[in-house]
Amino acid sequence: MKVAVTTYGSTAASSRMAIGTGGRFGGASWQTNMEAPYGSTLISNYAMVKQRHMYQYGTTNEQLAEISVATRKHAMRNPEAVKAMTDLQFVKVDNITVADVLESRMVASPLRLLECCMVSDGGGAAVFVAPEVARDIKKKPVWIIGTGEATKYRENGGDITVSAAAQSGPPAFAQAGVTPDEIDIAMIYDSFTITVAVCLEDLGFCKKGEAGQFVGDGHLAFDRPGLTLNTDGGGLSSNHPGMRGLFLLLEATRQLRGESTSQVPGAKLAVAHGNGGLLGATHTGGTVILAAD
Amino acid sequence: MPNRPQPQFPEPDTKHYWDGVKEGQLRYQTCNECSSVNFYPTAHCQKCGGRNLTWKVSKGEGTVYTFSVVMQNRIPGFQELGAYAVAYVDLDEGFRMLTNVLVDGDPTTQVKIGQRVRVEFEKQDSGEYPIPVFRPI
Repeated sequence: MKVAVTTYGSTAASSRMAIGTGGRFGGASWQTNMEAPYGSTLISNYAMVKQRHMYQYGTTNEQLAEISVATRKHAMRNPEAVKAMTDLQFVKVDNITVADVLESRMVASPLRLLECCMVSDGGGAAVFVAPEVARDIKKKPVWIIGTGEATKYRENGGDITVSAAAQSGPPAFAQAGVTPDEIDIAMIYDSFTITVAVCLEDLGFCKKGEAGQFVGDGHLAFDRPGLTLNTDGGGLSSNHPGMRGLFLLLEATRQLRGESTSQVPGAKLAVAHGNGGLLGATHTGGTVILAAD
Repeated sequence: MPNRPQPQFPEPDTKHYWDGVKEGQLRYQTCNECSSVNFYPTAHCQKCGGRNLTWKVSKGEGTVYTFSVVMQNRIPGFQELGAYAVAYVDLDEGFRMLTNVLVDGDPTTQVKIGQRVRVEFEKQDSGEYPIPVFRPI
């Protein structure tokens, strides 16, 4: 096999899907029987991880809000993100401050509206080719140099601040032969602020429990020294049709080709990490390390 | 009475658990092969895969591991509850369950991580099964 295409699309916004605030229904299963009576929404699962992270490590709302602020800054430079926010009738299609995040409405404590990704329509595609094909294509190729995947479950006595990224990250970095401190840009599924914080820790960008300090100095923006996050605006401010993994790969590729609307000069190494399912309960992690020539 | 979703049957793994709830018991399993506590109830041990499990009855007391107060939910039966606290409670016997912690006042200020809580079997309009929820001790 020499060429493969991966594509994804959804009309989550047009179809008015309540991704974060609806319940999961279905036939009788041991899981629905034990969980459905309690009204735990998708968002409250992530919120419970944030609550525990703040309790266990002293992480603050102000620190985590920097994730929303940086991604919005990137979104405002991306015409497609601005169009999406406008079409979805965001109250304020503009840069936001930490105070804006802290003053936004609580959806499931301690997660506020501006810490939650949007629900939009969207789609994308990526073409994967064998190395000998890549040499002859029109666009500059970007190389996949490491991958890892993992699944994690709710467990008795387990630490819910540790995600599947703790298992998917190390094999990806080992295969790539690089370390987190060599990475220029991180595309991390920002379903919620806490998702980014937990995954940054688990991928090794900082120690467990220190993501608050790591993101709290505002360096995630593309024009600040240090690791840059989600330069398309992320799920928080550019698009989120339900699953965001493909968009992480697309923006990482744009960066490594020098085509992003918030370009990091000379970006050579990127990590894309997707988190699916319910953080803190059954969820998955997929890590991809990408490199420019 | 509240109108929470009911468990659905036939569902073999959790039937004995819910039969216990009807009798005012919070049941869990331990594995005869590896001694681990098994919860949610399943036909095999989630640690070692062994099929030799013993049912036990919890004293129903535990500690709030984490929680979230849900302000927005489109699921019928929850909209009318107003803000309510979803929580993981670590039972003293060593299992963690998803549940609700009920308080008389504002759950955002009255529910706390580390809080000691006790089970209560809350009757439902929605059907014959009460739902085990927790209240601060």
